[in-house]
Amino acid sequence: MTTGTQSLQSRFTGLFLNPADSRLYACIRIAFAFVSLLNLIQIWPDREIFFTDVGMADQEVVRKYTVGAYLSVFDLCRDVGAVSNYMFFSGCGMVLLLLGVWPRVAAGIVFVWYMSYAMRNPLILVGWDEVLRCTSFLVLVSPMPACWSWRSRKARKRAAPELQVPCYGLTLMKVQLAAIYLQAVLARLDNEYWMSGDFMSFFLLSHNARWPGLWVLNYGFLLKIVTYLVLLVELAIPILLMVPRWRWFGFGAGILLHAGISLMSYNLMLFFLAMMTLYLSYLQPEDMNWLQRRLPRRTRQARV
Amino acid sequence: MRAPSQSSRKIMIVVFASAHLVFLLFGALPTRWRDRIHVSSVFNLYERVTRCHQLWNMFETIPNMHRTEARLIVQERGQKPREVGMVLPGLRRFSQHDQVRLNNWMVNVVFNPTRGVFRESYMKSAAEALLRTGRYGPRTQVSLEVIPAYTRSLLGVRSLKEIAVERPSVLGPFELETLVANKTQVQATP
Repeated sequence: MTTGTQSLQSRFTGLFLNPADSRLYACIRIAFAFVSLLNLIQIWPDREIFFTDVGMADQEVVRKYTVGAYLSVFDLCRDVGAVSNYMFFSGCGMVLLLLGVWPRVAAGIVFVWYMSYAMRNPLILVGWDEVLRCTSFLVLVSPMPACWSWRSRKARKRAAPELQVPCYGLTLMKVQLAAIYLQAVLARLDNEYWMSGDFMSFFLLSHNARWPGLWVLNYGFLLKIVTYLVLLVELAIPILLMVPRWRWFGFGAGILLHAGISLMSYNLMLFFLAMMTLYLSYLQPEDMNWLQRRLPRRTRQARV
Repeated sequence: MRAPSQSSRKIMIVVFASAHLVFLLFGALPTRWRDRIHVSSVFNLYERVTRCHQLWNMFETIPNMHRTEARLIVQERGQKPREVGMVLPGLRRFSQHDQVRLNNWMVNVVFNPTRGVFRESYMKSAAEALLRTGRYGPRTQVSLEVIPAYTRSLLGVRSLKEIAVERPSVLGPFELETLVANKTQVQATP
């Protein structure tokens, strides 16, 4: 009995403490920083509209109706100059995170950025903002091994990067991805458009669609199948990804699903990229070996 | 000395990661289901502290909305009404496809009956912006005209060969002077 309990306990703690390949964390850090930078670049032209006192949302009204404490750097940045400076500063944090320079501080800067703009203007948030904010929290609390980072020669001489670190960050990212799909499917169970199978037809006629038109009606039956297939695929993806042998089917299904969404919709490429960042947590050490073999030799030597 | 600190670090990792794991598993449930469970207040508190909101209702946002147009209509006494862009600052034109976040603002503010306070605040800011241009007097009237086009039933689209039907709504008119002086006079729904 005691052995059974001990085994269960060690299995549970193994979920968080088992050694993981540090390159996986580095890969996620780089991808997350890159997507964050793209997101910031997308917001940049509209910064005056979204975040200044002369824009679309009055900060005082937002503060009044925020549930809990209003914590946003935009409280200190109210005109376009200050907003630009803060966004530039956050962008620098993203570049540092991408390079792996002071990664914990950089991850903190990026997390504060996501928290700040979500608080300042919750009315403009889109799906990938939420995905990236949750990922930024997980990146912040995850191990930050020095591999695949830009380090000075002195620092490289001082200590070699750790090859293995605890896997808790990867576990939480995997569960986060599964939770996203599971909730998305469960929430649709009482949605008439999804349950009748008409969702895809309506979606392709909606303001989200890239080519709305009467052509959609010619594919009614096919689109019904696609609607149900999307639900099935979203349920299957986390299961496929969790079984190492089947993970490439999971990756394939996920990439097809999100590429399809990006192709058929306006402006959803960042959603695709944000989701793919979480997918990286399902990679295995042998995938990283494969990737590393394909890196140019000089880059490989400099980074590892 | 090293061993206990390593072990306490491991304990901290296990405790934190277990808590977050439970949070994520609970977060996989849709909001309606979560709210019925007693521990939802603890979940909400943790969600607020970590800012990891678990709301993944992707593509539930008005699937029957075909397109939206929105503009300010400004009318000075004895003159024809004039259309002005509704995006602040600068009163630029609203483009649904070019500005996906502004489109979300529209969905969240104009079409959400619980967000009257944000509509009030927007109208006040718009009035201030119009007055700042110097082209309009304080007695000029302004209204926000929103023209959503809703997709018909698939049967309707097939038989009428027309995708959507427009259902315009107007918030206003209000005098610029009144809006700037007292924003509470703006009614809650357009």
